[in-house]
Amino acid sequence: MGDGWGPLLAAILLMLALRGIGVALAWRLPADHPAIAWATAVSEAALSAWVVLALVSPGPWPLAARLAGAGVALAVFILAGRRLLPGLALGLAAVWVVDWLLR
Amino acid sequence: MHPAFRQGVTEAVGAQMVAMAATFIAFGAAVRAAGFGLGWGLASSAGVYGMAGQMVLLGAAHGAVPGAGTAAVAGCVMANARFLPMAAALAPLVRGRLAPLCVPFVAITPWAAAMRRLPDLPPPHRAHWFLGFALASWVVGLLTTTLGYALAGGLSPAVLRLLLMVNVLYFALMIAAGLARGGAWRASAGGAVAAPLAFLLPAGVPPAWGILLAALVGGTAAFLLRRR
Repeated sequence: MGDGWGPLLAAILLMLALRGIGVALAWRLPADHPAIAWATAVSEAALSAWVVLALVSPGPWPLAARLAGAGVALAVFILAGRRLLPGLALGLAAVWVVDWLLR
Repeated sequence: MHPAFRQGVTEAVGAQMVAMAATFIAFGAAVRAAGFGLGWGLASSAGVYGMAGQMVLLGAAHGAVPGAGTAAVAGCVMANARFLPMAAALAPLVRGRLAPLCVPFVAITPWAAAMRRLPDLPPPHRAHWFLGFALASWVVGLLTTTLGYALAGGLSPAVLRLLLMVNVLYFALMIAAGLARGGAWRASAGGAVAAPLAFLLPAGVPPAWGILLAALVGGTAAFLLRRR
C-alpha cells in the first residue's frame, strides 16, 4: 500500500466510529434528555469556537483582513434580509480589499 | 423518491454548497501539491468527510519521521472529535430505520443545516430530508475535490488562500442565522467566549485540542446556565 494510505484508512474507520458511537449513545434517549441537550450545546460551542479561532489565530490572511471580512459579511447578511450569499461574497471581497490596502 | 429527500437535495443547493465546494476545491489542489493521488484525495473526502481532519491528515500523513502516520491519525481524530457530540445531538431527530444510513454524513455543513431545519419538519420526514441534503453535499464534495485536483497549479496562491476563508465566513453567518431564529445563543456565545482558552495550551499541543477544550467549557457552561 502506497505512502499515506495506512493512516487514511485508519482515520476513515475512526471517523465512522466517532459518528456511530455518538448516534448509539443517543439512540434510546428522548430528544429532551439532558445528555442530548449537553451534546447539542457542546457541538454548537465547538462550531463557534472553531470560527473564532480561525478568525483570530495566525493564518494566511492578516488579522485585520479576516476581522474586516467577518464584520462586512455579518453586516451585509443583516442588511440584506438574512441572505447568506451576498454576505459571503462581500465578506470575501472585504478580506481581499483590506489585505491589498495593508500591503 | 421521497418528497422530503428531494426537498433536502433542493435545499442543499445554496450558500452552504458554494462554501463547501470552495473548501473542497482548495483541498483537492492541496492534495496534488502534497504529492498524493486523486484516489487518496477522494477517499479522504468520502470517508473522513470533515475538512479540519482532512487537512491535518494531509499535512502529516506522509512524513518521513517515525510515528508520523500515528500522529496524523490522532490529529485527524482530535480535529473531528466534535462529530461525536454532533451525532448524539442529531440522533433523536433522525430516529428510525434510516438512522444508520445517516451516520457517515454527520459533518458540519449537513449537521448545522439539519439542526436548524429538522425541528420544523414532521418526524417521519426528517431522516429522508437529512439524507437528501447530506448526499447532495457529499457528492458535491467529491466532485469539487476532483475539480481542485485538476485545477491545481492553475489557481493563484491568493485564490487558494481566499477559498480557505470561505468556510470561516460561511459558518460565522450560519451561527448568526441560527441566533436570528432564536437558536442556541448561549452555546454559541459560550464557545466563542471560551475559544481563547485554546491559547493557554502548551506549545506543541495540536490546535484541535483547543477547539475541543473551548467546546467542552463553553458548551457545558451554556448547558448549566440553561438548566437554571
